[in-house]
Amino acid sequence: MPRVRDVLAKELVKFTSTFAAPGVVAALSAVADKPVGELDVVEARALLTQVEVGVKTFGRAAPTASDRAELRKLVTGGATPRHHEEVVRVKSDSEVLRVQSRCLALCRGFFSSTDSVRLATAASELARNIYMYAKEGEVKLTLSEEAGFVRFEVVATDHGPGIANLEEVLSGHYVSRTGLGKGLRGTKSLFDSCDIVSAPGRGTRVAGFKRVRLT
Amino acid sequence: MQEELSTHSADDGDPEGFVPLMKLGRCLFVSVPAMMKDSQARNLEEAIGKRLSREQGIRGLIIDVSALLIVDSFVAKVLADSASIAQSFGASAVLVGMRPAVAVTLVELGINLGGVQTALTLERALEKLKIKIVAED
Repeated sequence: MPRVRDVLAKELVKFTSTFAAPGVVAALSAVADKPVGELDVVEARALLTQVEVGVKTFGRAAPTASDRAELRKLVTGGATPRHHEEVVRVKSDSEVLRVQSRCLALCRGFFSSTDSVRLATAASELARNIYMYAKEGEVKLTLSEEAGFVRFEVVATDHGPGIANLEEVLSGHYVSRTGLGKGLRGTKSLFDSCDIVSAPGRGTRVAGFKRVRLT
Repeated sequence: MQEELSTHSADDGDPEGFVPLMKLGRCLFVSVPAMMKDSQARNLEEAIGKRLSREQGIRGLIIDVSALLIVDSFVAKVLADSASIAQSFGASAVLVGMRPAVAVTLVELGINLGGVQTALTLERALEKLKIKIVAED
């Protein structure tokens, strides 16, 4: 497969001038040196933003919706980009903050700022539960594209004490000694859908996701 | 002079231990950092308590949360606790400058900061406190 940069070097002339196109292509980040089709969702989005800014700045006219679709095709090779996955091992409070900032960084450009804050808060809540109750565990953040939608999934896993009274915790009548109550129930409501599997002594696994239309 | 302007709760060279705490008439003004580690949260509460106990005639505490990007239940608790600490020294607390996305998320998360007063701008916060202080005097 050819490199994304080479493809763009050939095709970008259509969108800007013969003089500007090489400059725009040269200014692209190192991600552009990957072969077409090898980019993941986050890389593709970052590169596409750079290309669009280049076209907007040096092009004959601002890119239209069909231009943008075409540029997108050049960057992704017409295929759905690979999903992007990150795992944060949670052991202390600084990893909780790391989960927050990674969520905000991954959601940027795909989700609205309110949705980004929703997701980062939910992930933070789950990471903090791990750090407070299970001492150790991991949070997996996955960003994927599927049929015109973007999906951000948070999976928090630990091998801690588990939750004995899960029903009660989720019913909203339970108030923990540490938080302001509502913890897990509130977190659940920040996702589109959220699954919790837990048993005493067997740890906890919480998986939640949110999906929005790809723009 | 430095002591006049701020309170160092930890080592002077450690920026994370620094709590920006300033006097503004009969009020104290404190800024909450964008992301708070547990130790920073403790420092914040400690600094507020220390300053209020030392300084005389402080009747209000303004907590600037405009930098806060994420407020989860832990941070919400820190804010509520800070307000309670102020209350126990006879000062009322007002949160100022909350980001809209943060406010929406807090409501959805089911966290109720009902015990803490809020204001949209610093001016409004000062007004609120002034009226309250005058009424109480």
